[in-house]
Amino acid sequence: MASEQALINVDGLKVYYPVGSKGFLKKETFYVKAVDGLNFDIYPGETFGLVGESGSGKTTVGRAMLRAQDITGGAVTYNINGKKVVIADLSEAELRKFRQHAQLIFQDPYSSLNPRMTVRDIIAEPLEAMGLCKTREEVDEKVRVIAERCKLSLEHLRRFPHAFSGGQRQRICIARALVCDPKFVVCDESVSALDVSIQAEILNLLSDLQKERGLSYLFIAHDLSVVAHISDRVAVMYVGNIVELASRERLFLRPMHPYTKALMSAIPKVAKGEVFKPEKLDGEIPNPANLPAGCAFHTRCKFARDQCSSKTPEWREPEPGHFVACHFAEELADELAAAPVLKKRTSKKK
Amino acid sequence: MVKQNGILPDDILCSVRNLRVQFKTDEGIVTALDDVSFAIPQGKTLGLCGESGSGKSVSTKAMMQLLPKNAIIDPKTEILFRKRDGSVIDIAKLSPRSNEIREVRGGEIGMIFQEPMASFSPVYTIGNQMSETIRLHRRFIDGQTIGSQIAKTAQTSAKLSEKQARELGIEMLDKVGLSNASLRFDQYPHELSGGMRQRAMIAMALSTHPLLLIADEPTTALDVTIQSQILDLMQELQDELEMSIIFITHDIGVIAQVANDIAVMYLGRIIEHGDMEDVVFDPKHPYTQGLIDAIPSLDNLDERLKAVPGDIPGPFNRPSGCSFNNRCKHKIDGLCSSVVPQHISVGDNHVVRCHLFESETNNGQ
Repeated sequence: MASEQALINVDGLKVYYPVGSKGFLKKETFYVKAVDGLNFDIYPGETFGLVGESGSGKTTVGRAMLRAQDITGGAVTYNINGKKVVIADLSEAELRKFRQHAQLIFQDPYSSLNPRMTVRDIIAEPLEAMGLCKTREEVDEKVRVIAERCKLSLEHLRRFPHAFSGGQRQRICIARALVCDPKFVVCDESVSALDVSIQAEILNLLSDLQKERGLSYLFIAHDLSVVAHISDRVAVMYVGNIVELASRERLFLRPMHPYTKALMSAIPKVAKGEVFKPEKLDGEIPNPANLPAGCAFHTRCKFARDQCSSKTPEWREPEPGHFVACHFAEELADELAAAPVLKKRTSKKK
Repeated sequence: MVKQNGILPDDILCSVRNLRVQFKTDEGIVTALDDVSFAIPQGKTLGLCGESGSGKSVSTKAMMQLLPKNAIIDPKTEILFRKRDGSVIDIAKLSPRSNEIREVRGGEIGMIFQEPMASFSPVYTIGNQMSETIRLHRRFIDGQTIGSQIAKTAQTSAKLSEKQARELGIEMLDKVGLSNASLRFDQYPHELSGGMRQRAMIAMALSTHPLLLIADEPTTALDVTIQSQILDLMQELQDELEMSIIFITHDIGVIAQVANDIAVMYLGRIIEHGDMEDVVFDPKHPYTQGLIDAIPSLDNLDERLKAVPGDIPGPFNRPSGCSFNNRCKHKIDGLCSSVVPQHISVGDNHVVRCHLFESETNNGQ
């Protein structure tokens, strides 16, 4: 699926964490396979959503794509102005230069801003660290422009982070990430810590900025309805692997993997006269250090058959642009699409 | 201190009236709660929702006298609570260190906190912490099953032995759906996953069979799949144990699943209160409307999200008059920024605090 016009090509990405060793002279090392062989592309101007439960490896993918995390195998290749850059091959100095193209917005706006720096210094720091500006005036100008775009006033730039609310802090984080004019931004749970009313505002700001600047986002979140709103394509992760990848419409209208369906039906919905009855997904995500054999989801899957516990499902493309890792994807797709998530409210309440 | 039963209607378990809490800080006095009143009927669930800083947690902490030392509860505040033996006490008048409040706290009012990791002590096993609670609050009566120990005479008999507490604890862990409960009982909190820890927290809070359970954002830190398991579990246990629940969350989607009544808070005041369906599907207050509109819905993916404009003001620059007036698009000049709106009834069991409704009906309190 490697393609010429993709901004980023992720090919067989693997990240293993060593977790101690065993055997004579401890020759045998054991690994947690946090990310185990991912393949996907991200196109210019696209938002690529990544969802999954905690422990599924979403954050590790985001970090590995920015080389904030060393990778065990595979390659992440960027296409910057027609030039292919394999991020693992860069030297420290080259990497530092490269960072202007790929940035990160963190989850918690309270802990990701240095309390001892003014907002102006926080936003200017990437410019100074990468040496992108020659004069202080140039830095000030860039900071002013991006701050204004993120709805921060000049008055705000002189203050320290503690004086700001959660929504304002997240806007500072966005300004800091975008000040060096990157092409690709990883948003790692960037709205999860915010209240709904503020969350909507930040999501709107992110999509406006995307349109203006032609940004690509990797949008990591555990909240499917948020991901659905901002993403063009969505990938669903389950313990270190993507189980399904499709355009937003395909994924939500016709999910092919039972895990996607279960995740979607667990989103609380508000609808008049209807009681929310989510399909129950029992159990919890397995320990990545001790994965079940075969399909990792078979322990919780209600459609699991014998084959699921012995054979690992292949990464297939049953429909154009719709990838899934499930033995019975075609069979299940109709069944999954048919089961309604909302049922009529019984008069038990009141 | 002991009030007469007449003051609290029979079907009401707990009633909070005119709750006003202020905090003394270095920068001055912050009013965290102002004129908050609500009642919790027996066996029902009240949902408290609002954004961070709206005073959801402070109001429930006040009900358990768990506020920090710099908090001042206004002397006019009444927090009436009907104890197991039928007597009604005013919690607001009790000292936070009195024996009476200690009996209520944990025993009659249980609490589940948001962070399951932070609310267990890491140096004791789950079981150790559970049996401490159980032995403190439960009494054993010969021949009686655990369920009927809710009986009013429960306080009179002997303490449970360690072994009995262990059995009861394991039974509770089993009830909340933890597999291998006797093993879990002897494990430390870090050995459990987030969902399991939250279940253990619920088991601990419910092991004393509280009359009222305060659940402070119990599912916020959990994944959606685990969240729906926990919500289901809480409802099953509510039906079984016939307790009342105060459910605090900022997520209206969650609250619509569990609550009978909803109170929406904004900057220390309840701005709308009523039946769940009325408030969620026919919100009156501009803030409630904004809050519900802001929820991303799967039905209209291509529409732009509707944010509530502006930011929540800090505690020191709370707007005068209606505290929402600086973000409200229906603001009435001269009125909203100077006069605090009163409770206005807009329907059967539906109260709103907004000047927009004053002209229509005038039967506010």
